[in-house]
Amino acid sequence: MTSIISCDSFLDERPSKTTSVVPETLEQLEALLNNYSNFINQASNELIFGSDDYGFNTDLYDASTSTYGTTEAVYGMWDVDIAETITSRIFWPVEWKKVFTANLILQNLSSVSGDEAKKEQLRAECHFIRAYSYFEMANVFCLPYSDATKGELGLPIKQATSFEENIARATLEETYAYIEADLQEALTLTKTFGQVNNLNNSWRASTAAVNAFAARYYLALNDNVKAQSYAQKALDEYDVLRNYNTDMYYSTIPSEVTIFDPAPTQVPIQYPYTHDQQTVVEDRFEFGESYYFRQISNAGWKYWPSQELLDLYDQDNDLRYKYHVVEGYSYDRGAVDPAYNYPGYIFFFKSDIPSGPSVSEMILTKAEAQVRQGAWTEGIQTVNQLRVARMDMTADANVINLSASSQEEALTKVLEERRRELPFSRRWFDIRRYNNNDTPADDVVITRTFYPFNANTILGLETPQTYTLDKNSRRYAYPIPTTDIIASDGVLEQNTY
Amino acid sequence: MNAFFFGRRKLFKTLMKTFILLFCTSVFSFSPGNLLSQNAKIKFETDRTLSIDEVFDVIKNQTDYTFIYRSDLFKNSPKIAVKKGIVRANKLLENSLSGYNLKFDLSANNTIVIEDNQQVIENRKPRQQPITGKVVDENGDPLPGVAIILKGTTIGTTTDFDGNYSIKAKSGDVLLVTYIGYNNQAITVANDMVINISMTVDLNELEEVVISTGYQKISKERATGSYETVAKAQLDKPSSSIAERLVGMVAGVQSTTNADGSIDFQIRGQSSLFADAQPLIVLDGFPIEGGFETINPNDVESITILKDAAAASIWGAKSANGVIVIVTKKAKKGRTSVSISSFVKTSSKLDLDYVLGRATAAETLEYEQRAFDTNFFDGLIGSPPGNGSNFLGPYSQAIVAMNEARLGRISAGDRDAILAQLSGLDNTSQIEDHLLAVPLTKQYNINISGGNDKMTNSLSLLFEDSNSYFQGDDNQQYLINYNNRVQLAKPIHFEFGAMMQLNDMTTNSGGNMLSTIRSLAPWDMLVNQDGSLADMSYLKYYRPNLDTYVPFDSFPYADWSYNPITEVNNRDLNTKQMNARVQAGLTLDLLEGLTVSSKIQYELFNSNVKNYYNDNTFAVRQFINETSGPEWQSGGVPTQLVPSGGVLQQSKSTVTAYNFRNQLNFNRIFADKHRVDFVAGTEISSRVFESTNHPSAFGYNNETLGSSPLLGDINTSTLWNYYPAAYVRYFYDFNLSPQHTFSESTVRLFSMYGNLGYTYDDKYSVTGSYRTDASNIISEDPKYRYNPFWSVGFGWHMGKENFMQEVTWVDRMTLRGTYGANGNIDRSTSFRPLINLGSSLNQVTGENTATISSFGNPTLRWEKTYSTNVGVDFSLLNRSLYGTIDVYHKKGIDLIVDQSISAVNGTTSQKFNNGEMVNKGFEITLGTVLPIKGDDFVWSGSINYAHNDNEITSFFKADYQSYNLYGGPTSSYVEGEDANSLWSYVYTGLMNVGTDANPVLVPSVQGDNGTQSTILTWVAGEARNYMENQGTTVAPTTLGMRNSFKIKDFDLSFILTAKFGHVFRRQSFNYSAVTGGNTMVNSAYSEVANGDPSEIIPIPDSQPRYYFYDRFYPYMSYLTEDASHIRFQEINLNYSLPAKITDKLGVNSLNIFAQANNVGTILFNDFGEDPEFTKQTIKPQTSLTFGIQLNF
Repeated sequence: MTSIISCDSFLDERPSKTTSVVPETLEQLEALLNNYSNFINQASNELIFGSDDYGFNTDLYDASTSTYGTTEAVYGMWDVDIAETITSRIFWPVEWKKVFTANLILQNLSSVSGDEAKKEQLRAECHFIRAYSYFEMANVFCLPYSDATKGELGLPIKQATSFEENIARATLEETYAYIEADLQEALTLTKTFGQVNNLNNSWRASTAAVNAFAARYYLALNDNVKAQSYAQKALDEYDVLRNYNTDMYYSTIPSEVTIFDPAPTQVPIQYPYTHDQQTVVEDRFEFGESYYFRQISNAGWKYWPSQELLDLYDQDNDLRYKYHVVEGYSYDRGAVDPAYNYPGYIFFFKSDIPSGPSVSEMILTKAEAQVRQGAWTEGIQTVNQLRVARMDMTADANVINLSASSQEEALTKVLEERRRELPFSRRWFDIRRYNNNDTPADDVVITRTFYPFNANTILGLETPQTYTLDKNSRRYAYPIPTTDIIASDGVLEQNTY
Repeated sequence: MNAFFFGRRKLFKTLMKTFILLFCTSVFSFSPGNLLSQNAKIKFETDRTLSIDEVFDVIKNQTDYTFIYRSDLFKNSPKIAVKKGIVRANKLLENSLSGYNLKFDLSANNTIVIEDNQQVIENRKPRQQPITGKVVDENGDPLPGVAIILKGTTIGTTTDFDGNYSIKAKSGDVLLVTYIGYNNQAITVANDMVINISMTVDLNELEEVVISTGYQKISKERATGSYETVAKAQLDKPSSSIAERLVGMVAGVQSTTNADGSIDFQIRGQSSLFADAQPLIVLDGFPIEGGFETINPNDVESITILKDAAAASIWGAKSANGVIVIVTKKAKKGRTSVSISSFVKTSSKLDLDYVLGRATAAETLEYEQRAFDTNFFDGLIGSPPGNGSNFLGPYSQAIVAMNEARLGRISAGDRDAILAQLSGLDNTSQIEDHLLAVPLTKQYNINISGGNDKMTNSLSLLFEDSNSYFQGDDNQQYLINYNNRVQLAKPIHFEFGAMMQLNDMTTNSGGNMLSTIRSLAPWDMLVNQDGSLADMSYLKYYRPNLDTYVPFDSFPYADWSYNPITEVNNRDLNTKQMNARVQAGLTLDLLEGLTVSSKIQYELFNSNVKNYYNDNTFAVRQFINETSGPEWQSGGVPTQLVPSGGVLQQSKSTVTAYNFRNQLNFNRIFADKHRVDFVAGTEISSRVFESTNHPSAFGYNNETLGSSPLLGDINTSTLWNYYPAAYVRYFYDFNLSPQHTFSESTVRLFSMYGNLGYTYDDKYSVTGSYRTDASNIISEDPKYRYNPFWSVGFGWHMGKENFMQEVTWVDRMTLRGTYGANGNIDRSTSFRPLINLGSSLNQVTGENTATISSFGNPTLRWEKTYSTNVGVDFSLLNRSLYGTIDVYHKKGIDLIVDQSISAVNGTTSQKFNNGEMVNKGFEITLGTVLPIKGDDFVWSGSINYAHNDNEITSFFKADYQSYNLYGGPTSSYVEGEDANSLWSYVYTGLMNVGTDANPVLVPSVQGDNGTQSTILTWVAGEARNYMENQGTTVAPTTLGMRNSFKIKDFDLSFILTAKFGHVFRRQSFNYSAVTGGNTMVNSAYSEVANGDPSEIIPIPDSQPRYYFYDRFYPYMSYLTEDASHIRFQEINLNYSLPAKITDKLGVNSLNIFAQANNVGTILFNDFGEDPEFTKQTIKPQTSLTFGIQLNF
């Protein structure tokens, strides 16, 4: 028996030094946070295809059936019945993994060796990560938060890594209280927005990042005072914008597609240089406008901008149109024979658009909050700080600068600018809050016309139908995956419609 | 009274009775061979040499018989030698006394009186002359201690150490030669002064089988578990790996031979779902690194398979998959013996028709034309190459011709001429001549052993040189084994063993030559008509655009040509393995039957990989050229990044392992009837694996050993296609990373074990075992960490009961039953959440990174398999029929399964100890030894039959997608089904996805709820509902048969194996994409081209989503076929030179043998596909082995 006792130390040997280790130092925990690839992707098809920034075009589909798939149709037509059965819904599990990572670090902080002050910083950062994921998920899977919806289904409150913890969904009120509490913890972070390896350290939390997220959070709750205040705090620390006149350029890698029109013809396609790198993220961190880098990802590589969105741009002078709206992108996606030309929205490679709090978002948030609070002329001035960096500098000043003659007009102008600047990534969030504030003028009812479809295929030979998402539709909350309800043994509840 | 020797100590009590009996005995004629009860058996613990008086002593001690005879009766008789083991008392008597002219009387109380029948002739007649000679066994090894008696007298002698004897006899006398375990011989003396005698083994006497569990050796008679040993004759046949000798030999051991010749075994079905499924291999008492490959097959003495709980649970947490225990030969005391053997094994080259399974040139052309005419099936992933510097990707030569004509760069006439030429070419014979090799294995082995009473030594040296089916591959193996046993003092002996192995493996074929060959179209010729190597760079580039746009001369290497033969000739890919194993043990005899032993094993396995490519290889030239900058695209000179010269890649790995064991052994018989065998001990073991990858050396020269740094900064350099240099790992086989990467893992175990066997009166046996394993990879919670494994068993030797004595046709009959638990390890999971630390800094941020590697399973414990086994062993009619029948039920619980949980927990699946699985089955082994014509013609045969049914009884997965099910194990595990179920789509013909007026027909499969679903997208719904489970891919029924005929000096044997009741998928047409190089249209083309689209998926005419076909076409139910087959594994013919000749040659024995393996197969499918080596995989060819074995 003595040998058993002495053997426990023999058996204490770690099974591995690098793979599969129990975290023992603060540096090891921090290494989890440094691994940006675990955090930056926000693969929500729901918010990409659900908003009216995404265009459904039957002519494009007719030219090449591979330009749309059932995924686009199901989320784009808010078909909750099919959506819940789709199994490749990675947004839900990936966000929960981020929550798990935060909880793992929070749980281990007290037992690892390391500087106490630094531990406090990591603790605040983990609360930030948790708050961020909860907020993003609530915007996809729960109804917009208001007095009327407080008792609706929220998200499970996950505070530890244990599999024993109850995972039933809390109310929306409890969920937002949990986010708010985490946000308050996160705001204790005191870390300047610095550089690592000559890149803005935007893959890690900083005071500026937390403030920027707080601005986003309070704007969603229509709290314009707090939103403006936090946006200002973020901008006070960092407000560098990339000037598209000098800092944006086309890719030098030639790209040509042969189309048959009907004779074979070589068509060059011009991408922004940010398109070049598919998996290496230097360009993304170098871009330098994000306080906290996150990106929406579209595995189908197809962001078709809606005609409505395209019409919002000044196609001659808006450099965002010049670089991000890529002519002939439909050729690249297969519409070559017969050839059909439709542009694609390209930011990083074909799949990714930045979605984390950024300098431009803070400027737009501040401007909107100012306008909504009545300081609309200041709001217009604020938004014009962004315009300088985005519009062709050779254009007339009245083309570059926006102007308005009333608060209503100012609000419209600011919201249009917001849509031009942050397409696909913020639009779904914005429509939800527009429809739940005290300003009826900004309400949005989405309608679109497209072919009918089922879970397996788009029925491209049938007559197109009209699909509408009403202002207060319960379909603003997408269903959680059925597989997860089964896996939870029924503990998780599904949204009702 | 002194004139009589009395067997019993109670001399006076029995004296009167004896006298009375002497007069009352009726006169029966007894011979020594039928005096005693048929079942009286005598056991010898060691080899001994006994006087006849001592023989009687032994018999009376172990049976109820007593002997009375005159004390000087056997005074001059020769001693007899007996071997360790069990022998029938009758046989012992017969051997001891035959030849003597004696009269036997048996009394009712088992007292035997022996008298001379006539006066011993003391004075021999003068014509007597000295006769000398030598007695040897079948192998020519001398037999010491053989008794030689002059018939009709008590005069005799025994052979000495070297088997020599000398006796005086006259012509006409008969010499009776007897030796336990061998057939008696009677030789009439003629005029020869020298009579050499060769003894043959008495097959009827080989009753005692000793099995080894790795911890102890016990008699199979007393064991209650299901043990099986492999026939000695089988182990002695030539092989490169001893694993080959197990194929088809043991019921319930299913073997699958891999293409590389290695063999996987599964004992009694699959026991684990996610954990290791291989049986544990134990060599001389310890689990070993490196498995069968590190064992010299010529050194193997015995193999025991431990199949049930009682047999295997002594191995605790490693035993659920069964255990294979191998014991090597040990030197015997006596003269030095030397054994030399050598063989050559060869087979024909690969059958390219089968291995490539490709369509003809004309068919390939037909398919490609069809694809090109429909604009690559309208495919998104393939648009025909245009005319520009960014269209450099390779296409088939036919597609290039068609496309060049479309782009107007060649005329339609030129195109047609090219196509006509291509369709007439066939490169098969060029591939055979230039890329394939004739496999050849040469093995040389020397084994030297010998010793004296104090010390024995044996040494074996093995050298094997082999090459594979491909040119450029060869492997040299050097294996040295040394064993030593020393009696340090009377009660202490020391054992030492050492193994040293060097494997020098060259794989200049690249290790993937088959895929290189497969990427060739039938018209891609390797060699020009003038014999020079063809430039096949069209396999790498779209050659017309390359020629037009790429200025070859401005690149570091102007030569852009490619030919696979050049590649093989200009690389040196070498792996050297240096393996060493040392075992040492000390055994101390404390009391009678009680010993303490301490054993240690240390292993050090090293593997060094050194891959050198010189700059004649395309791989290096391409790498250096394409890592040069993009300036060429605007007329400049590309900036070279990688220095010119060769590339050297190096990596190494090391395993260091040790076991240390202390054990108490106790074997003793109390009061004649109570036999106890007990072992108990503790053991610690540790295994550390380390590996290192070195950065590649560039500009390396194998002669000067010089290398150069990169010519530019990898972080700022750009490749020839504008991509950053950091991207090279996505494009090439070489990596520019400047970092070394390291990894290390450790598994430690602490174990305690015990095994107790008790046998009463040789009739009833009870056994029990217990083991606990604690490990650093299992939960710290003692409740789980020390969770024990145990077994109980009973045995009833029914054949020894009195009521069976009448049943003379039963030689032996034993009933056995066991129950207990075995364990298994899964190293991939953990009890706590764990993280992986990146082995190098992040390339973008320069920071350390980590990922979560395990979400934690706080109750992680060993997997446990509870098995019940009931069996019977029998031998009938003097071994005319013997066999074993076993029935078992194995239930695995706490099996580690990847189970669905809610994503809210951080992961959608997590490994928990929640799975359960049942294996049920039975096994029958039957054998016979039939002397058809004395010893000259003997048939021995054995057949084994096993049946196993497997079912996963508990497994939770929330939902199944089709790819989970067709993906096979482990993603296809479904509760209630066999673990190896084959799931397929059911084809439902063409489906109209258009309208009635405007039909669009698309192939479809059965969907959920009786719907149809196209094969252009994943089928919606639960896959178990719409896919079909077509049966298991692992044979439930297996059969092995071995027959051997001994005809004088020839031995002919053959082995047959068969598997029944399972299914496999035959080759499907590959609906190949026409982009990305050659199309590789396979030989099932005609089946589809001529097929009915309502029965088989047709070739698409125009289908942009045809790239989705590959999620369907390989998994259709119409491809599933019966996998049953019968395999003629082996035919072996052995000729032993008669003793007359070997004597003249001065050797003990000389055998010459020929063997054929993979002789043929009987298939039960109509497509000529071998279920275990399906089309387009390497199928082993029939091999022939010729060899010689010499002992002196």
